[in-house]
Amino acid sequence: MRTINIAKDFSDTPLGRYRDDGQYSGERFREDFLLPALKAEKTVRVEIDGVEGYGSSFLEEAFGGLVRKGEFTAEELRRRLELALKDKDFEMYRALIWRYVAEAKRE
Amino acid sequence: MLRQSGSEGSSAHMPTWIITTLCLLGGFLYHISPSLVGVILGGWLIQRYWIRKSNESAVIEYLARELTNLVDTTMLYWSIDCVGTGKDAEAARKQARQLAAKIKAESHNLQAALRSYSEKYCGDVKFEALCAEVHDACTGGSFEKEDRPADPDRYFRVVCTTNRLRWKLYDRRV
Repeated sequence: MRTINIAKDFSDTPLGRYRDDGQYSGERFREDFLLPALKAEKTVRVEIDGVEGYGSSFLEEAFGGLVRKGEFTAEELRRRLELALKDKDFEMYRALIWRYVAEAKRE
Repeated sequence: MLRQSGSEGSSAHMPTWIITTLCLLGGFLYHISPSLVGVILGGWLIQRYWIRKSNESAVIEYLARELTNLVDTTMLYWSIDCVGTGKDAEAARKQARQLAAKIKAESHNLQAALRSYSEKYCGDVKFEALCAEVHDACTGGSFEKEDRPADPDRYFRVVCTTNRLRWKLYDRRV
């Protein structure tokens, strides 16, 4: 299992949806971090706490985008993706991520 | 001799009226003590209840103010038009970036405060789902997109979701 700590491995200030929106966008996180990890390992643990907060646009693009782009189904992600947090204040983001994954429709 | 016997009488033998009074007082206290304890305990519990409710009300007021601040900041953010290449567009983008950071911080703080409030005052009432809705309304769509046009349609969604949360909070007030 591979572990990605967003704050340490990516950025503690993730923002934006597309690459054009900034260096630490959801699209970049999905394509450069999440997708390679999911392709290489059966399960991936993503530690989502430690950042300054997320915009929904970032979360939707990074996680919902996996389903929208046809890389995985929502069920597959449920099995293979583990969203970990120590800080309870980040529970809302975990709930949002699973909501975006469930609501995403393949383009 | 007289003085000696007098002092002996006052210390060894109490006057009858004092004994009678003490007996009556003892009997009175014996009979009213359960009621007295009940009244004191009841008063203490009622006072505790009202202090707790008053503190809860103050927390709700604080949360409602935070919610209003979040709505105001979000409204301002989504009313800014960042499309264009001129000096004005660059200034708009700069302002939007600052507001976006403020919105994320305010939303994060609000949900942290709501979680703390829920744990302390109403463990059975959960705000996570509503918080997530508010956060999604405020920071979804083209949030943090550099060349984003103004999005007045988002006002409605932001106001509706934040008001649902506001009424859920006010429902808790006595």
